[in-house]
Amino acid sequence: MSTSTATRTASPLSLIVQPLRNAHVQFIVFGALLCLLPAIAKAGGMRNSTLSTLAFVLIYAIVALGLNLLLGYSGLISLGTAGFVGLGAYLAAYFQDDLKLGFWVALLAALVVPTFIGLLVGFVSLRVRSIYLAIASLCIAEILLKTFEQLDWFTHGTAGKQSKYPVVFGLQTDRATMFIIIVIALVLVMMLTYNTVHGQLGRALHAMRSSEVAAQAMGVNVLKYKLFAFSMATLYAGLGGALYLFFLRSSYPSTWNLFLSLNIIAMVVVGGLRSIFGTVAGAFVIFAVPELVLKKLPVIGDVAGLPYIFSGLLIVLVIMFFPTGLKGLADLARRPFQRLRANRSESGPPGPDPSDRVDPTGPETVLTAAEEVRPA
Amino acid sequence: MSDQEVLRIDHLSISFGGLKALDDLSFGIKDQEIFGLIGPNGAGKTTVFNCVTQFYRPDAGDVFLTVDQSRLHSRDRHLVDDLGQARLNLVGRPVHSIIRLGLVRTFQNVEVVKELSLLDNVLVGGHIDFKATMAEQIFRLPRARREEKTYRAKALSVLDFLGIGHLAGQLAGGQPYGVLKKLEMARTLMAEPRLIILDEPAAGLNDSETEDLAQTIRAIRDQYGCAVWLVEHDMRLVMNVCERICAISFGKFLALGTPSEIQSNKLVQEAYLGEQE
Repeated sequence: MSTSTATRTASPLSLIVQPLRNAHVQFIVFGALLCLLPAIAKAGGMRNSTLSTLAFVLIYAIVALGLNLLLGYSGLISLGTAGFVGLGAYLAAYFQDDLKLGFWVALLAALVVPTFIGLLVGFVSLRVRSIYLAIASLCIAEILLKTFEQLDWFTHGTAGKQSKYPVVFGLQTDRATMFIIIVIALVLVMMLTYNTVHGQLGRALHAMRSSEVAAQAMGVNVLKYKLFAFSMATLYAGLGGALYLFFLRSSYPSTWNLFLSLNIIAMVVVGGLRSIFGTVAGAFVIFAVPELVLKKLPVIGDVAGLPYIFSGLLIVLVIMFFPTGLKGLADLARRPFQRLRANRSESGPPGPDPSDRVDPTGPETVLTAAEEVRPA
Repeated sequence: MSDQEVLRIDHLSISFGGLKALDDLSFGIKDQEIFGLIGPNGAGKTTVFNCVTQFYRPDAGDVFLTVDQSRLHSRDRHLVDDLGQARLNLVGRPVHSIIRLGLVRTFQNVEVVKELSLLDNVLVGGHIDFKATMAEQIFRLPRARREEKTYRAKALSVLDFLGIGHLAGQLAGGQPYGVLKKLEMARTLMAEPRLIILDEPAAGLNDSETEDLAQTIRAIRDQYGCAVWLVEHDMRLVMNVCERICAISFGKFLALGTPSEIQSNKLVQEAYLGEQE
């Protein structure tokens, strides 16, 4: 692959652009850029409240990536996301502040317990489908929510659980360092998600969504992959919950309600099913736009429940008029450039680059594999 | 073609709510044979191989598949005979385990993943080849990377063999029906099966595509050395390509023989054309 790409591109610009084609490099560059934000805030270029809003965007993006594995790739639905995020948050607080076991143990607990419960939901998903699965997962979230309200020794009930910034590697964190930890977590999650969906695992999930019967005929053990999808989704939710707690240092049961679950679904749908950057963009649109933009507008900004109206409208509009979401929008915007590139290369036929028609979630791998075997 | 049987269907019966869909049906398919199963509408053709592939559990009867030693799970190793093969009863085995034994099917209404490229769709058929664990894949460890590379090359060669290699990178959604049918066959070939079941492969194809299909079926048999079992409505295709044909009607066995024997068989003619006075 290196020979064919090297002959095609020779300009100095390509030295920068070429590595950026690699998805993992993209994620790392994205993360590195995000890491500049605390410094910008410190220098006075951004309000601290804006930085906090962006931190929550990134946390919800992690959770939404988990839901994308379920909803986008596996075709399974869950209305219980918020319950698992809340569980992660309370577990992190309990292990860090009540048991005083430190950051890593608290984080581990917030990952393991929700994943285990996610596995149980996976078993449920074998029996009930579509709307019934949605209801079953909603019930589990409601049970968790009631538990958060009643289980005083664990959650401090409706009074709310208070926590503090964790000590990581002997270092007392603050707002800025927690932000960077969140960015690192997000980049890791993006990379792992990318690996998950671009191999045999991802194809098995795709096959299962497309047709369970055909997937089984191809040797896909549906039980195994449903359990996998649910445990990944709840693992990400638990991670998001722990980061939420470490950043905000408090948790109230009322946060973990159905509205949050619906908002996470909105992030996935608006961002574009089966798109990693799309999901992050979706999280930004759904969470940050009402906070940072709409609330500051005259008249509209004063409407009560504005975020509800906004994400509700957006879901309806996207599903009706633009089902591919922000990802589809990005593809549309990229198309003229791809055409330009295709026209510039002499060997390639005029007209759209063949990669135009390739699933945007996996163009590199497909093309490089094709080039490897048959060099042009 | 050898005389060894790759599949034996033995006294198979199944009923759906009192309706006997299959009634004591028995026949066998030989190694590397192109075999046809025909019958009028509602004869139970699809039911037969849904019972074979374990989508349905038969009420009675057995389905024996001849399996190479290398494909066997360790717990079945004791069944191996002198030739390094075992006859396994498929009845009661999980659906997803059947392909590992060397038996794979296509679907009447092509079941491909529209959102994946042709290449990735073929790789779905190679699902069972991957040995890397989930963790190895999530962290993209060397074995997962190596396998992905190996099987991508293999999938591409399968697509090339079927003449659709130039479309490898394109999405399956939106491809013409003929391409999708070939894609489904490519997917079955990834598993290097001993027996392929094609469910009405000619449905929805025009005459030239059907002619092309007949050649493809022969090429698959010759290249991959597997038996092909067609369940088909299109008589021209069946008579053209099959070496032996089994005819059934109302779930009962009618006749088994070469295409010309079947064509001249009285029972078969009656089943298709109605009884003659």
